[in-house]
Amino acid sequence: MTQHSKKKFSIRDMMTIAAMMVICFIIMMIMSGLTLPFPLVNLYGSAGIDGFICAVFFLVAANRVNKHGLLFAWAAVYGLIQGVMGYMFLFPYFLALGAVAELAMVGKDSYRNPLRTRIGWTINCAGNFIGCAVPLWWAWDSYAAMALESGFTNDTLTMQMEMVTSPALMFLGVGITAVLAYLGTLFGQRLLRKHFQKAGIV
Amino acid sequence: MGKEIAIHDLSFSYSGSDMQLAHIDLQIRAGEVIVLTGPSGSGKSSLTRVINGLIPYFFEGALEGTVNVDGKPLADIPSWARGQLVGNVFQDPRSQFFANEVAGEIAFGCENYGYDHADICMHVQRAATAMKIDDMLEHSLHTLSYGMRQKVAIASAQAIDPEIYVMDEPSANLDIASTDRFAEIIRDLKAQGKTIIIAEHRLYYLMDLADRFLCVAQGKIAREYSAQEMQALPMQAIRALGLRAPDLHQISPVARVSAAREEVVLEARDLTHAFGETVVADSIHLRCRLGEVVALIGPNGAGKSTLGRIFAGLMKEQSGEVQLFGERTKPKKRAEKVWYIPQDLDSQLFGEDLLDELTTGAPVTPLRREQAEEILAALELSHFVTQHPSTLSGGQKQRLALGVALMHEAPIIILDEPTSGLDGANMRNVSRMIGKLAERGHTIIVITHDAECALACCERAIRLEKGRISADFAIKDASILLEKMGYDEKEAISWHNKK
Amino acid sequence: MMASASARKRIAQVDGRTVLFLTICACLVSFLTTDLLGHALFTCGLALMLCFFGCYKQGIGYFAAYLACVLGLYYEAKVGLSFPSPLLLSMLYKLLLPAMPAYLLFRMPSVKLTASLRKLPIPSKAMLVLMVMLRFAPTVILEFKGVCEAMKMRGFLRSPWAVLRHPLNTLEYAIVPMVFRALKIADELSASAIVRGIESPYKKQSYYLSRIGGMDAGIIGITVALAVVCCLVM
Repeated sequence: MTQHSKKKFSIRDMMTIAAMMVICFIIMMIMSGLTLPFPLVNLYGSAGIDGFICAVFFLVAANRVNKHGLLFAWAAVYGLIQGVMGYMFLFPYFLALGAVAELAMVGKDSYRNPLRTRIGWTINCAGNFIGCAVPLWWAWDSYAAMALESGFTNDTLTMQMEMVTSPALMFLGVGITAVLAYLGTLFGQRLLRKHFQKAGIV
Repeated sequence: MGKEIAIHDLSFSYSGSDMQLAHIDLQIRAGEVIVLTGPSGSGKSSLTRVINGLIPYFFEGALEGTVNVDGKPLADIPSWARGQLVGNVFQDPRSQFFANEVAGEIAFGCENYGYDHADICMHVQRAATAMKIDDMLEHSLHTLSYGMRQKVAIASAQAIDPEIYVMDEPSANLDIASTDRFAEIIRDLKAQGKTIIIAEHRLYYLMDLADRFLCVAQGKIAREYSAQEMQALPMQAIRALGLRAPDLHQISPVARVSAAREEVVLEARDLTHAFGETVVADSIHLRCRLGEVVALIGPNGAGKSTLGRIFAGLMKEQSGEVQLFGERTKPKKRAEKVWYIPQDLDSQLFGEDLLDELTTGAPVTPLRREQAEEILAALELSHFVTQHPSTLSGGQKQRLALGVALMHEAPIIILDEPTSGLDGANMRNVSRMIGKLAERGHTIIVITHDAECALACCERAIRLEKGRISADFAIKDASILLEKMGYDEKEAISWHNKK
Repeated sequence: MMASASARKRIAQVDGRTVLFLTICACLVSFLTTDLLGHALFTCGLALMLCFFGCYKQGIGYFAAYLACVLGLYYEAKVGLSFPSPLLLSMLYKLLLPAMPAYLLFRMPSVKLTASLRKLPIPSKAMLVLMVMLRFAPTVILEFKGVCEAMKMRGFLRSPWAVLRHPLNTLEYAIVPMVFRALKIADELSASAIVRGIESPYKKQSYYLSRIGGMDAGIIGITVALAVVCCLVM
């Protein structure tokens, strides 16, 4: 019976994922709170910072669970929560993102392979960045439209809008996120070796 | 009526480690109360896990031998269905709760086993009434005391109405009054004819409940005693087995010479603190002398931990003052002189091995390294120096936490429940270390409801009740301490009167 | 927290799906309205809804924050200020709307929420992860406080300078005990769930009834009407 259940997520796997994800969410909430006064950082940096710190938790879950579908589940649950928090229309996007990230993990024991987890996590984080930045643009656009409609035009507003929504910056954001997520997995691997593998919990 | 359990030639080892259980044969009659006791890691928890099915389904490993319940092999029952047969209560109720409120938690098992809505409500109501918690079904679990949580855990097991109960160190976090109430609950279950298996270090509360005491050592049932035989064992035999005392009145207090000197190192004046409407410190006055070992006792929620944290500067007092070495000291400065070791040590350990644990946070000079090695040797931890701190046992972790305090050269050390969940040998070991530190000139406050620990290392006790000091006395013999800790109240109010 | 008993009872009566529907509605309205007045009207409706469930403080608080954001934005646009960033304010006021029913969602008894959600077409495993996360959140925050305290005592957080000089070390000190604790609790919780039959194949019913009742219908009706008015008419 234990042989049979190896492929599917067991209760313990799901608890592990839930525990690691909830820590990640709390970190994300703290980070977005800290960076909120600086919209540029919030928009282009916070996804990267999250990706850096949360990489450890992802790696712990990955090494412990070591089953396919983990990244997909991770993205799906992330999408579901984003959905409840207000971005319902993004849910299909996160499912697609999860599927792409999962594709990067094809193969046996790939969740214990440092390089493969590094790639998977980087894809996931870059995808998160795009997923979270778009609706903020939207919010901004609709506000700008509303402001213009109500007869407020001024240079500060237009300037800031251009600064925030230029495609070049968007690329830069993806780049920053990917690099930070990648570095995060390096740091995470170090902790994994130094503590968690030594203590025998993964 | 309860079921009988027959275990034949049972062996188990976790994947990749030594044998946890070795050829165990055990017959448990229906309606019997069995206590499994023995040192940590002896295999008694493993034995309970075999009965509730967590071994080998959840804790994987190699299992051999048979377990029959009423003649039927347990292995034939699917793992998910064993919960209908066996109810479980674990050590820390906080981490076994699935819901956020009492009713949902009690209902959890019934929901899983496909009861319909009306049935679930009926079972929840019945279990809650039996535990006398039916008036708090709507309460949030996070706000409950340990004792209350334990009741919810038992109610949750009871709701499915199993014939067998398995409990793994259920009293580890309970204070004296809660332990007494817990004993009454077991008595009730026994009267209903349930078969009950308890793995436990604290024995005193089970003396008139258990039918048999099984001492487990190195994966085997080494000895078996009836309650009378257990009671009759001399203290030397108990110590040799590494057990806790079955009769607390037999324990004699510390034989060591008090290291206390005249100098007052810690003094609280008119200390007051409250959380909202709950007053946890109500104009407290107290003094501790250099080298003294003081037990801070009293029921859970009396404000003991809060007082310790205020002394250590982790919290700021609302009014009054704290003096260290004769000077009024602000919280930040207090943190340098008073070291507080909380009950939960997992969040305290940061290093990758024991040496790193002591030296981390500042550059490792040869001097500091030497100092750390010396401390580890003094605490008898040198043997484990390359291990990761989280792999240590409870007693070893406690000693390591003491080592960290020594490394920071804190003259005053406060320990919060250092011996809860420890077996007799480890409890005595930690107590001995505390005595040793006092002789080295440290002043130590031990927050505890473990009478054995207090008797083994403390020379004076302060009882805190509702934020006030209700007693302050020298521990001359066991009876005065036990009386003030509330152990003897149980005898005054027998369970017949309670009903 | 000064909710009257009857108002507090309402949150025990309402179905989880209704509140979820409310959240989705709020989200759609927040992003689809073109008129600020419509947006504000819906927010006002939600604030009243919070009061209906006895969360007076939160209802009034959310609405006040909303007003502050919108008015601040208007003022900034008029005067040409750029601090605090108008982007921030516009983000805030858009997000406040879905946050209001989401707050109600978190106030519901978690088991009741599970009972309601079980009737939705969400895969049971994803559901379980979500539920456990809800259960874990308070625990993790509590544990984190403990770790912070320990770090403070050890002097790892003694000065901002020390933290900035070794940011990775600080991070390591915070992360390592968190992971140990979280995994330990996760294991204990799994064990406790398994011995109480979480994997049983039975069809599961709940202690809490989940039925779309009169109150639910009323709330849904009012919300839809309000949403239509705010999005389309205005």
